[in-house]
Amino acid sequence: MADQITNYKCPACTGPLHFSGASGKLECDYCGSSYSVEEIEALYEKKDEQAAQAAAEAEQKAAQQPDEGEWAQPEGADWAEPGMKSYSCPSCGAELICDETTAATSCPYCGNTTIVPGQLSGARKPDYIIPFKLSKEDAVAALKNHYKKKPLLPKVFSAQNHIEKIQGVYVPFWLFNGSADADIRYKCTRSMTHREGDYDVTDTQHFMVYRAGTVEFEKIPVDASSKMPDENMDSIEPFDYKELKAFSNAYLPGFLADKYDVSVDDCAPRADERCKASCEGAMRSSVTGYSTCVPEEEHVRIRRGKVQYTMLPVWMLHTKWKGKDYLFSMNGQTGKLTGDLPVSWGRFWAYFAGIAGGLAAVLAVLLFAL
Amino acid sequence: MKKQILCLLAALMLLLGLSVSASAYESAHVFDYAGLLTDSEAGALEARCQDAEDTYGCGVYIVTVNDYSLYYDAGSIENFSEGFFLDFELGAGEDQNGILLALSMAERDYDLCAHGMIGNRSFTDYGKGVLAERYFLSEFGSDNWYAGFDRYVDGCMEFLQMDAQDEPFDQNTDPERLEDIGVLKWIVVIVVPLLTALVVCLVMKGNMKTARKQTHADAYIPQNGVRMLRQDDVYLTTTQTRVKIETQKSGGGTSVNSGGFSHSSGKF
Ligand SMILES: [Zn+2]
Ligand SMILES: [Zn+2]
Repeated sequence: MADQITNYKCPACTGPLHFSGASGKLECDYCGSSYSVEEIEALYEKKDEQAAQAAAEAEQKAAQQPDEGEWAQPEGADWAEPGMKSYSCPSCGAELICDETTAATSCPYCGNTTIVPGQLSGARKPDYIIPFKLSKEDAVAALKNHYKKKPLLPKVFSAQNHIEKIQGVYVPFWLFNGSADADIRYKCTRSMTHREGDYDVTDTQHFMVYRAGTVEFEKIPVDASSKMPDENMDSIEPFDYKELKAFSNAYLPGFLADKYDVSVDDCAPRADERCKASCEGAMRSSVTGYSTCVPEEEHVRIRRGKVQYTMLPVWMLHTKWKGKDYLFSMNGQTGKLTGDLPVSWGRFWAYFAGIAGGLAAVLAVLLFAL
Repeated sequence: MKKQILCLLAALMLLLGLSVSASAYESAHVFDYAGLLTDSEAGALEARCQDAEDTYGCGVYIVTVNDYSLYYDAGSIENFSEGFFLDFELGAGEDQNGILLALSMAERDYDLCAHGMIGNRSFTDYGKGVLAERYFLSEFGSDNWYAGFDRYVDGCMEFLQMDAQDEPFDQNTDPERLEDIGVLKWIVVIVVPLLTALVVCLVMKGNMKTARKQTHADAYIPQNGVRMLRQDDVYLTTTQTRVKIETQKSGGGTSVNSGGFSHSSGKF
């Protein structure tokens, strides 16, 4: 593994190649040539083999995992390869990985511009990756659009933040696979009302409803970066797993990758919670034709399966506004964008006064003048 | 057999009552068989009632009994007041215009009963309700009989006065109600816009926050990922509830029955 070549050079001019999400190809900044990942990997034949092997290994490991008990994480290979370097942010502690050709200038999580380059070591190589599909231009446009039609947004806010600084980051995720068994008893009623003379008569039928079943879950993503707010990552779901590829460093040029710093065990409760809620929901949705339905007794058991270490593409922009952090994230595959925006209270009350005053005037005319 | 005795007794009491009350003053409008008023009080009321009849052409009557069910085989106090009205040939003019307030002490029932064109026009369904609530019920509630009747005659005079001015008392002419509606309108004009603006602004503020945690994993259930192993719906029992339908009178006017009477009755 030590002889692996991971910084891709343009076959035509030996300039650095970077992965462009828009074309899905590796492009050369110097001569403008572009190559598909496959082409490049074919050129670097060994690399190709390696990637295929990695995928096969990951699948094999996955197949061997037990059905119950702990979430089983495959033991990945070491990511420390020549041509890879790391940056660490002294401000927030983020550790970012990129290939030699990519220069990181600021921390995508906290915006700190003095990030320290270093040697990559002790990082685990991810099993899978979804490459960036949307370009930086797409991300800038989406962010500008995000600011639009927000009447309460302080005007200065959008003017002051440097949208161009948006960065493409591969965010580490654990993908949880498993299933949940449910055994639930509901108390349900069905009511019918008819009229008898001067009375409304309601007949209510009472039922005891039993539901049991199994719900399978595939690849519930939980971000494994402590710097990344969970809300942000949950909100840009879902990713299209059809484009999930075996991990290869070939997808890295031009982007940063964050390595995981939250373990599977620490992420598991979030996956468990979501499994449980959806399992209950699936059982509940099979109870139909009743006017009320209250669960009386619930047993949900989660059967934990394999966990995959995956890199998912996210465009990120960090901004500070009046001492508060604002982090915008866009799904680099689907373009779904999220990020809380600051509220201008001046504008809030101005709108409040305008709406209340206008409506009062209209109502006064309607009620008193007509 | 029992019923016959009861009827006999009733007739006897009626005669007795008549003879008693007729003694002190000429009883044409006030018939106090339950003995709630002193002679002078009854006399004063009688004079006011006569005055109302002379002015507006509509008789104003008061009748009190200990138990209405002893008269005219009356199954309800409405039946009693109609029976009494006809029996005593009450009402002024060809139309027999009149308003009668009957009190029955046994169960503390009252009935307001109007008859004739002027009677039914002046005392609408809404108006009779107001007459009871705003004028006499509170007085009767604390056993102030004379004050209650006096207020009743006050109300009758006012209602008849309004009718004489071609604007009979009803929902849309009740000054108090119109005032309430005026206040209500102001509340609408002030409160509705404030609430609306608040809701709109809070929604706009909510739109500023887009990052939210996911609570479900529905998107990660594969096709056919849900397998049901048990689906039993067991019927237990049926229960029944009965709720009386409240009939709501809408609009104004007077509901006159086939006998030409309209009523508003209740307890005091
Ligand atoms: Zn080139
Ligand atoms: Zn940082």
